Amino acid sequence: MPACDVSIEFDDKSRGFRPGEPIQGRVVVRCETACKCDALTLGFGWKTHGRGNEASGHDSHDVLFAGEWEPGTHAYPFRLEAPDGPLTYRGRALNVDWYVEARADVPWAIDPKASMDVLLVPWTDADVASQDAQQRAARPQENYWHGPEVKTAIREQRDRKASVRSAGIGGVLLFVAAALCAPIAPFELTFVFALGGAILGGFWLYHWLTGRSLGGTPVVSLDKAQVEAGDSVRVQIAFTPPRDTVIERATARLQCTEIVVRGSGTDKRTFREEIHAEAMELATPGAHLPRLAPVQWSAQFRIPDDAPFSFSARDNQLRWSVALTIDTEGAPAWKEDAPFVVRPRRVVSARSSA
Amino acid sequence: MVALAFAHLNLTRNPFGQFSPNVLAELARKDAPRVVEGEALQIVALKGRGKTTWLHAIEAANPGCIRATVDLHSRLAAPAPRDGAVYLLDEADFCEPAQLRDLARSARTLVLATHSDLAPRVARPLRTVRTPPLTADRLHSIVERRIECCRRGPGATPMPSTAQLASLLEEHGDDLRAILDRLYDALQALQGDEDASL
Repeated sequence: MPACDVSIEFDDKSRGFRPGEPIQGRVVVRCETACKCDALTLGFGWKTHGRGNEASGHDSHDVLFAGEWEPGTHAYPFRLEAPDGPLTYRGRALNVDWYVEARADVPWAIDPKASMDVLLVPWTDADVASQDAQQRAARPQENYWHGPEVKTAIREQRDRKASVRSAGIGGVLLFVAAALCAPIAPFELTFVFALGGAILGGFWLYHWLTGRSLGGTPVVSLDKAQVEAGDSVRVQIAFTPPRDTVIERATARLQCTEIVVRGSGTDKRTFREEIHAEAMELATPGAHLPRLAPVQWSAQFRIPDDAPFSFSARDNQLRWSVALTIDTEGAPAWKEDAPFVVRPRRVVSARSSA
Repeated sequence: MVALAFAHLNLTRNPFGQFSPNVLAELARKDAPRVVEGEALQIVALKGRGKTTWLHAIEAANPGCIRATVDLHSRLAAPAPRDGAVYLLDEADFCEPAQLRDLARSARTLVLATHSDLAPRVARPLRTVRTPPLTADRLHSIVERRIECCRRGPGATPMPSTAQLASLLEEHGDDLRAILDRLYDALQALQGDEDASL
């Protein structure tokens, strides 16, 4: 039995807050008997929940009290500031929530604790009627925080190119090792090296072949790395086919996917839930591209007003991207995924004052 | 405006999703084996039957213990502590034979989680514990504990009926993870204000 009971009360019973707003309330401790407390702490942070491993982060951690409690009820007011992100998210495999947690460190007893979830919601135009709200809502958009692991499109492309290059080098090295081992080592070892070389080499060859049919890897660019909900994103793709080419399929697909990882080691499993998708044709099937004539295609997508915002933490991701596919006659399909970041829309007053 | 998570079902989250190690440890506290100082213990079970959850519970019950997982690429794990702390090793059957023998020799109190019996691979007596079979009663208890852990306040919460649990057991056997996955989807689909069965 805990030596005392801890609970959390909020002034705003709806527990919904916008970035910059004060979160006020009190931690209430009820003791039946006198009780020593080494520290009554108040933590505020976010956590993910759903199908994936839990990821979390702290915004603040304060000590409200340390000492001796007399029997009775003790209240400790607190005031926190609602942070810039990540905003509360409700999905199928992934949820992001904020929690205020109080814990009393009581020596030689089970630590009594309490945890309450609060909602962190975006500002809307309807929220900024007062001068005070306008000032709070006018926070720089760059402040919005998407979680600890959001990668930019440039960084993802660089990582992908590096892994293809590493696979090529690794494949060659394994083949060399297999050739050197063959006369002296057991057959099994040679076989393992050769098999590894074939897998890595095959991976590299696939990427080389898909790019080759389009005259090298096409150049993909997005007009913005960060887009506001309700705004548009334009993707451009440029390449020069080395020979006369017939297009079987060329599409750009806007997609938002929850990607979560559950478990570890042999028990690791990745879940993907697509929560938004729309596709556009870049060229009509059967279109003919003349040899050495530069090709430049583009597609523009509007991000829905109620679009969920990008988020990325360990094992938990809400990822927006434009997936490009070009399938040409007689060659494997070339595919590339260009990720970008969606952040909350600036409210009208904030936009006009910026 | 977005609502508090699963408030319509009187829950704080989907109870059949993945919990943090701390919560898993708390949920498995009653079932997990007690570790006796100086012994070597192996938990043998198939994938998804609760080995790692038991390791979390043992870790919570033995403050200061070291928990390691064999790296599947290098097949190596962190070395055993020299101060006699309890050493827990997950995915132990993937460990290099030489390192496994070395760990069994150097760790004073050792707990291995493995898919297969490691007794022939270590030169030390191993106490073997297997996760119990998944009976209807045990499944009911697991489901109930998960739901209680996510309860938002007093009142009704969704609970699968005995017939539903029996049907899941018949379909998935003792694959607890597969059953929890099915319950996760069923709970996600609940809108509230309907009968509390899943």
